[in-house]
Amino acid sequence: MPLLDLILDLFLKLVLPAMMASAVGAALALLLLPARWQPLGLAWAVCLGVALGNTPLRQTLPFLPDDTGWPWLLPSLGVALLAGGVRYSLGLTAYTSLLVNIGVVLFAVRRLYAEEMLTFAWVLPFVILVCAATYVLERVATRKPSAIVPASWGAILAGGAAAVSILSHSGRFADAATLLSAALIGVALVALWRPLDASPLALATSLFVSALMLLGYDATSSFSEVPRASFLLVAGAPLFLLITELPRLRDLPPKWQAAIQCGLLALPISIAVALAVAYEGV
Amino acid sequence: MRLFRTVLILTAAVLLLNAGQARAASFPLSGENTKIEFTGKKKDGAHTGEFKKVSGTAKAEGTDPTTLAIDVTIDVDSMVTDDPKLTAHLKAPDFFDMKKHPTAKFVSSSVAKEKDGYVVKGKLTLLGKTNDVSFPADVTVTGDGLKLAAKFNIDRTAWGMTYGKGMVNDEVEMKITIATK
Repeated sequence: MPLLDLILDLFLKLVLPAMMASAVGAALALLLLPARWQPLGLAWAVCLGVALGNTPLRQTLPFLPDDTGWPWLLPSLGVALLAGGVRYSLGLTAYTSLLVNIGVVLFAVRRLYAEEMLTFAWVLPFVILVCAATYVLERVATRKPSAIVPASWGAILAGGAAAVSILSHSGRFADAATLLSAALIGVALVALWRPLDASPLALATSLFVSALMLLGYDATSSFSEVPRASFLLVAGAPLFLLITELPRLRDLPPKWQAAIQCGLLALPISIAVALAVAYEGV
Repeated sequence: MRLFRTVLILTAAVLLLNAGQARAASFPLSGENTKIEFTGKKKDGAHTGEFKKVSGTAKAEGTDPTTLAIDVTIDVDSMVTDDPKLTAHLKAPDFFDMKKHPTAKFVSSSVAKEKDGYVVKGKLTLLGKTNDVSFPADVTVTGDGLKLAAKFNIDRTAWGMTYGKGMVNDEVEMKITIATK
């Protein structure tokens, strides 16, 4: 199939339904729900977007997994979205929130990891990475609710995960990353109209992207030339946003802050994609 | 006379034993004598590939093809296609998910004589799922060799290989050639 047809097919069957569904869901959540339950509504909107984008037509990810490993990506995302929404709707303390995050990541690890990877050496760094990335994304999101936050997570972070996945020959994982990307951009469209705090989506975003990178590396490293650094740079990209905590940067005008956020996310992602292209070719 | 009878009986026994041994033949299968090729089609073309490494055995009684029993394991990593990028893509979780399922397996259950040749029935395990398959084949078993040629289609989605549905045809053409001598 010519490249243009492939892109059009992806857009019509996956991106558009995911984006529109999450946008409509997010708009309804903001219009109909009381402020307290809006985080949960937002999480539900992304769930809806991902679910509708993952139409049976493309068969990207199973809704009901019959095996461990990557078939659990979608349920893990659902659990992380639900946990993120509930955490913010109930206003849990930072300590309880951390415990919830760790619980969700451990649940995902138990389902996503192959038996031989269920070791301290594999699980601990993953839990630390996801929890740290979630913390940083939440800090950025709560500082200044805007459309740029979910848009950058979707277009740059999840988009980068899709690029590295496709370069390592996994169309399925690229589609999965595109699903999340489209759903987050759908939320960003609504945020253009009414600025919203995307924090409830941080755990799901960091968990899904990190899991995709880990599973992608594990599944393709024996035949793909894409280096481990590419996968690590994408999974760890949110940590670069820690730089925005510097006092001088925090005092910058919102537009500058938004540009710096996008640039800090784009830097590791660009290096990751460039490395993948250099080693694997297009 | 008794000695002659004993010799006769022993000779007969040895002959029978040898005859029995000649009837049950076992042929080791490898990439050298077994070719498993496939052709996948899509809207604007087709790609072919094959598995270079296979291992297993084929057993038959005498020269009767209906007694043939095949047990073959396919090394997914040995797959090659007409496009190296496609080879890598086929090994990914989209299709063969090689990391999780490094081998595929076929075990025959029966070979029946039909009007135009033979029909081989068996179980094919792919992506950890086992399904019944049957295909027509030309089979010849001689005392010291086996020849089998088959061409048939399988529906990849029956094994859960659903990625690319609508872009890549569900039906995959298989071509199997065994020539042990």
